[in-house]
Amino acid sequence: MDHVIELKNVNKSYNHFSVSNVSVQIKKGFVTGIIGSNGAGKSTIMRMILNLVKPDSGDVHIFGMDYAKHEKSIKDRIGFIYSEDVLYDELTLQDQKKLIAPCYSQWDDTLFRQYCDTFELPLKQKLKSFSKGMKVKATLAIALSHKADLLIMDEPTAGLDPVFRREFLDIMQDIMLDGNKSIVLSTHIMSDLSTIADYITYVQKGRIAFSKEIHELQENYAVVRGGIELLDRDTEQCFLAIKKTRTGFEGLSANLNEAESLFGNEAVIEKASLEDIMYYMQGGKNVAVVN
Amino acid sequence: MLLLIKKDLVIHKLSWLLYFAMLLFFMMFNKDVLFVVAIMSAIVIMNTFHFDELANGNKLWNSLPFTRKEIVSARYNTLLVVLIIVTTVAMAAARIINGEWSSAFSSLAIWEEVIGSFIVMTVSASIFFPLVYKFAQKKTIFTFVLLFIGTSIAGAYAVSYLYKYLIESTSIIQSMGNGLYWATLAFGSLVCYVLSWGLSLKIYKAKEFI
Repeated sequence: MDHVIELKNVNKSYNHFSVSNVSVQIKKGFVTGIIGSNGAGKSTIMRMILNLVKPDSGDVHIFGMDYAKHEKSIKDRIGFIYSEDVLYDELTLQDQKKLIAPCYSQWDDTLFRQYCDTFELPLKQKLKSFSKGMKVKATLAIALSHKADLLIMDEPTAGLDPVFRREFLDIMQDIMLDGNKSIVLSTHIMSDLSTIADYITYVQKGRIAFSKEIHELQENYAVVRGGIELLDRDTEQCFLAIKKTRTGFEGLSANLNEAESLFGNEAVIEKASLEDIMYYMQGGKNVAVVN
Repeated sequence: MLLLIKKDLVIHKLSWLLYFAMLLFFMMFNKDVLFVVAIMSAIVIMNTFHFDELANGNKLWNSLPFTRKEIVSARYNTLLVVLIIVTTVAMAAARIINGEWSSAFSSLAIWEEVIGSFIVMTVSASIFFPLVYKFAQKKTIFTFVLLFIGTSIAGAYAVSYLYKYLIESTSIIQSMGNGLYWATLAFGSLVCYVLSWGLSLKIYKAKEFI
């Protein structure tokens, strides 16, 4: 089985927001970043993957199984990290571990202690005295100690300082050395992903705008800047989104080679970062999305 | 499910000492077993909801290998376990303080008080558990805690005064017998509890953890 997660035609509607016709496959053994601006629908998709929210229609398969029949065996193989605390403040990490460990069939106490040592987590201190970063590490230690095949992280680095974010990403890279684990990470902090993600799924207004290999994005997507006279009906077809001023334009192209052959040296062409892609796709200020 | 029941009991940690101290305090002030068991069970079970809500416990336990059915069922079972623990301690305290198996000033026999507290708690829980599952959030859970405790206290007095009224002003209990009277009420409350259990399951299965 190549896919750890498979969403097929998934829909979920709320009063002022909906996730529409989401179909996506997450490959086994890779880090997949789910990106999108705040309110794009990333967390709703993550929650449907975790069965915290049930879709109105469509299929969600994890490890090839569905929640209706295999809820416990699916969850037994998933580790999770949320942006908010899900541990009891009045308990120590040791107490919390005692509650959670028996829930998993493959819990490894030695591994847990190793992670606590590595992350410098005090076992006998109440969780309310932990910093935000320590709480994330504690959740991570728990998620890793039951040998989860799939780690699902919903904005795990939100609200963390840059030093800890870097440390967290290093830990993620170490985890992936295993080769059998898969990570799905939702974030709106692009720099988190450029170093660790293998695939990027971009969610825009409740829909999947694209789901691609990060190298493909880095190699093919380009930001083009040039004079307004370079634009006409034909050249505009090269862009996914264009920002025009009286004298010039900036545009996002999904085809670097085509942009280079069209504009040559007359425009400045640079490889687009994930942040650029998100900005232009999102239709940042004065950006027109070209259909 | 046993793990979830254990969790419901363990998360109180040292609060149990406070609960038992409160229980002894009430017993020392000649409160009857019915009242003490009702109020203490209400405090313990609603604090369980409270702790869970504050810690995003619903999100945590729904991400662990449990079904929603197990999570709700565990809570209904936890109340029964709490009732057994609190009743045992209250009866032991009554025995030590009063030197006999009865409350100091209660008109009820101790077994009637035990059944009475069971009725009060199961009926109160039958009303409140579905409401908590449907509406409680971090900001509102404390209100539910207070309302549940208030209802349990009122329920304890209601059961006690209803019995007194029926004995003094009617011949219902005399004609049907004490045993049948309490058995009927206990059975009725158990039916309420089971129906409430089903309703909570339905509510919780449709709930979204955002």
